Amino acid sequence: MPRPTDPPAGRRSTDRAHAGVIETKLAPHRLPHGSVSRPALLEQLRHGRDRALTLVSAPAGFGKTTLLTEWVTTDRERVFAWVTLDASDAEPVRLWTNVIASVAARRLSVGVGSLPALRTNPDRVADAVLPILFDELAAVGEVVVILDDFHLASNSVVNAQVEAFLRYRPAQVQLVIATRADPSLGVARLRASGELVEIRADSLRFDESELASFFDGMGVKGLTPSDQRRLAERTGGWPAPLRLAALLIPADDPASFIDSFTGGSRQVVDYLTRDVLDLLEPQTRDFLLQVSVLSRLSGALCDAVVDTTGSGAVLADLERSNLFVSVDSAGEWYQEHQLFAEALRLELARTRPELVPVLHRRAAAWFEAAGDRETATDHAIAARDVPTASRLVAAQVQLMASTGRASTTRRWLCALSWPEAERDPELAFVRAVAASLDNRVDLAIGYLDLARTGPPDQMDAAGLPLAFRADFMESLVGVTQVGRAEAAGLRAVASAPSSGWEGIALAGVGQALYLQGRTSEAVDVLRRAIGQIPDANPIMLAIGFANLGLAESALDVPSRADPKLDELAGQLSAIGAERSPAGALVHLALGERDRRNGDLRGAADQFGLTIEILGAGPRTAWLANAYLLLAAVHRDLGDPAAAMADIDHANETLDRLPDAGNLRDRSARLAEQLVAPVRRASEFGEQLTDREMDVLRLAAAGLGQRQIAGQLFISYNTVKSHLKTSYRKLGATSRDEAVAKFALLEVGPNGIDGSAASPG
Amino acid sequence: MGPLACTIVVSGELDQRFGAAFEGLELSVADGMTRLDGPLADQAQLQGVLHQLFDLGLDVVSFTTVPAIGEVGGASSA
Repeated sequence: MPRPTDPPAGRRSTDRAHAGVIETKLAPHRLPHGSVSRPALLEQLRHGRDRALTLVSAPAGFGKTTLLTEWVTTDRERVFAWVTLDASDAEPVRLWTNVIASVAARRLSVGVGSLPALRTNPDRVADAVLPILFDELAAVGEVVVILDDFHLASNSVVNAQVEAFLRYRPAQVQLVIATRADPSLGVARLRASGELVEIRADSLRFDESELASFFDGMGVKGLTPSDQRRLAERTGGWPAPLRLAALLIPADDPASFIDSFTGGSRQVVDYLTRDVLDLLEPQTRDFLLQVSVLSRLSGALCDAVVDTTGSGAVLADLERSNLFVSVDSAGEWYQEHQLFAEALRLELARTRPELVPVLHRRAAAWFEAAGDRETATDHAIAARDVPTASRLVAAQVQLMASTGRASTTRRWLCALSWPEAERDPELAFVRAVAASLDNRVDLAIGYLDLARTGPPDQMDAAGLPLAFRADFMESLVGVTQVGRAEAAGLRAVASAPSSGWEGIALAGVGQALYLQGRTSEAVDVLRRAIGQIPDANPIMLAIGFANLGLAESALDVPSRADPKLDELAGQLSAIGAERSPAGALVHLALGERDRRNGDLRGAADQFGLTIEILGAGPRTAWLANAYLLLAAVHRDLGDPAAAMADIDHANETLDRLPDAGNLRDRSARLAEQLVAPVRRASEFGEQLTDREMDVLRLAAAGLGQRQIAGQLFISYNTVKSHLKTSYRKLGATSRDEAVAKFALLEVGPNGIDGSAASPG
Repeated sequence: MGPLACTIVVSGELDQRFGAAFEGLELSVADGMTRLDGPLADQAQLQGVLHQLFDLGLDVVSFTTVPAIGEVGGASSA
């Protein structure tokens, strides 16, 4: 068996940092002093080795974590991968990154394939990531995966994935879940089929002998067996109040304490908020109350939050006194026992409510300086600090969207739901960005309107004014209302703070002009745009060049974009943006390039790809445009049925768009051309057949005979034969003459006009 | 589902200092039990309060909800 060694830095730690992995959660804390050894329960845990699920389910304070910690520290031959879950692990990418990182800390080869798979397929954990993880696990022998506090991370998406894990994992992986509430993982079914080992509250209660060792271990002397029995009865063997009692029993007069403890009916949490806190010096009490806003504590962090020094020593003392504080194996990060933390928070809210936002603000600042923006954001929101929260979310929204972690962004934006936050213009801009990344165009436009109510010159972290940002975003993204998009783009151009940004704004204007059929204007604007957009912005470059390619193709001239398109497609792939709207536009432009070069099949393939990418999103003018371009190509390939189907798809979208530029006109014209009776060569004699028309059409487009054969899937000889016959029917003696006569036939009722997307 | 008039009973006695802890519910103590009475906006808020009690290690003995004024209805006991 390979020996565990230190995990490597570098690539893997980047994945982990991006997914918010917090190292101290990946190992159990040290055992509390005086904890009772429970060999019978350990034996039960070991029996879970051959079962699908080992479940430890009981309310707070029953010693679940303590039991599992004892197992991990005493069972030296087994390999354990521990994760302490919290509310932010309800997001799948973060949860699974934690699980994989925990196993990888002990078995290096795990994660090599599964972490990248998680990064590229964040929405397909069960079918694209878990199989790779299972292969990696199968290769490394036995391992026990422990998920502590599962109830905090549980939701329907996570539950489905965990259920898949426990069903299909390799046999040598034991899954252990500790939770306060039974998870919805088909537990009843597992129980019925004998695939479940469960340890519940009743098993976790102390029996008499355990009680005796417990008090011994806590250093409580002088309790008679009858004292102990009374305590056992009163608490039902529930460890949490027993620890309380052990702390509070005065050495000189245990009896009267026990009397009041067993006689009364005060709740544990009541004792925690009064008696336990009364045990402490006022300074320590204050300290604990203030740091209760934190879910994990370190000396440095507490110093910052409480605005003091020496917190490290205070925490160490508290841990040694067994005051419901535990510490991790490195002795750096502490955690309060949950019931205690709840009690402290209540007490703080009751006695010093005005301090709570101040404490959260300090915590947010500390975490941000320490490089943990995610935890900083949680605290900024808890502090109701809208500007800070807005800045932090804005800085993370793109990265989270591209790594499949958008649900965390959504959670934050949902939490920012009090009136001031809902009205805040900067935050509205962030909401617009998140909505557009989620392909919710009309929602984004609505938020941009709200953003524009803010001071126009207000800068973001990159120094861009708010009004400019709102305008240029709308011009690029707002392709459901093209006229508005153009107006927004023009405003952005007028207020652009630099030539590079002006270029980006010009691209938005150019796009809107193209969609309105103002093709020559679009070409002028876009040629300017591409000269100004910085190279460091491949997405904007792609949008600029693709639009230029489309506009110049509509004019049927070779495009300056032609040589750049392949390179841009590559750049987009490199940053994982090949399936973004920019990527779709590049395919559209590539398709038009193919069409101009006579490769109609290639064009149809490219348009098909565009439609596949865009079809997953909302209906926009882009999708309709793609269908119309495809319709024209299908028509030229001699497949009018397909062309009509494309036009129908385009119209489905167009019917829903408030303002789709001139796309409706183009759609109508294409439909007419397809339906209009084609004037046959009756004045020249025999009528041309459909197939002969198809061949002539391609010949008129400049294709050679072999190319025509390839496009129409017929043989070269058949093409020659069709051409010969059609020359005869047209009374032409050369190809040029045939093409000229054919052109006269093909002029439909609307003529050929320069704003059509393809030659008519 | 609209506003509810809610009564939750937990075992054990909670000190008055917990009075402000539960979403505007009023706290009273009698016979070794603690009662929380008051209006809640909807089921989601009720679930939130029950969760909070669970997190505090309190055992819920009963809860009754009655639709708020304006609706005819009985109580549904848990």
